[in-house]
Amino acid sequence: MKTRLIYLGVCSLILAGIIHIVIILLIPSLGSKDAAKQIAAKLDTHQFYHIGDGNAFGISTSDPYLKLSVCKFDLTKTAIQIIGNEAKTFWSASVFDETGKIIYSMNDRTAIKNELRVVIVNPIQMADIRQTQPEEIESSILVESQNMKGFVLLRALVPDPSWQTHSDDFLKSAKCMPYNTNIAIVPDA
Amino acid sequence: MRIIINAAIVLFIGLLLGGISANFALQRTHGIGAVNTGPWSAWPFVGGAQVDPYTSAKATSDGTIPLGAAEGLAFEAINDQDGKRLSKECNYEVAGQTSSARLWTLSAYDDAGNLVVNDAAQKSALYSGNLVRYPDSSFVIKISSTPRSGNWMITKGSGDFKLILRLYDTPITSNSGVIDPQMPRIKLIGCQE
Repeated sequence: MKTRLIYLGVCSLILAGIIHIVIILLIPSLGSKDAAKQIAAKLDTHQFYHIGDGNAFGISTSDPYLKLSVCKFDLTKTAIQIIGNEAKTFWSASVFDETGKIIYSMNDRTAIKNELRVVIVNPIQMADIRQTQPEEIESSILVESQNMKGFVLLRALVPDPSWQTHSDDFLKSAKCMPYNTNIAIVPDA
Repeated sequence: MRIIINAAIVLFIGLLLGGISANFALQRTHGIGAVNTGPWSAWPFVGGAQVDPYTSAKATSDGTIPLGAAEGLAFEAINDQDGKRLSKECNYEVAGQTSSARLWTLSAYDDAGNLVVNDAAQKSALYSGNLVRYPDSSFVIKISSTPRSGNWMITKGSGDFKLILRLYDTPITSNSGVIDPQMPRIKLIGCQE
């Protein structure tokens, strides 16, 4: 009887351990509150959406002082260029892959001339750019992504309500558009 | 017959213990895979490729979008300085200094991840640029349901809450790891009956 109880107890604990590990490992892929998944499902590509505090996209515990704008991208066909107007307030941008992992992040002070100018490319487009060396690239930050799909999240500070319009203007003016890296290479004359 | 009963018992206890311990690891324990200073925990690697499974599961079940290293770092506290759970019925003082950052915000959230108070007139959040400070740049923030002099953060209702202090554009994320960040103390002042 006693050995049977010990045997059952040990079996239960082993099973509990397995269940524990399975739950922890499965949450990221099955969790429904995942903001990255909701952004991927609800938005069109290559366009910035002003999403406020992001509550509608399952982003909880968001900072009430920062407003968000998000653009979903797909690098399969073209690279992506992100351009924003100058802003007097703190802003930051991060590039995520499809699963919500950060590939690259920046803020207004780490940007070139404090301007939002980013080009996101896949490795093949990177090779194209190295060959053609277009002029716009000089003033942009080049981000190479191994994943074809992902999104860019833009945050802008609203320190008090009087800044609301300024920050909103910055977020709304931001552009997220296809960028052609495959411009015909002019053959040497 | 006996083997079926045995299997049922093992299955029941296994599922129960496994489920409870997984939930406990995500909700109650605070600091697996984290950098801890006093009651504050930060997860500097939550958005990276090297993230550990607990941190990743916690981020998903909390529904948060991580801050990138160049953006900043979020510190979360669910307990006061003495390790007691933060309660909306109690008054607290958050006092001291933060690690250097261009700006920071402090916000109070309920269990669902919403701001404790969030209406047109008031919200449970403060911005570092709007604080009253002592000459040595330290500050005291009073957390209470009734108005206080100085820096006041409103709470309301009953139940647990958590504080999140977000440092934006801070060098501590770019230094070699997060070395002993300086964070304010969370002191319990008293509770309403």
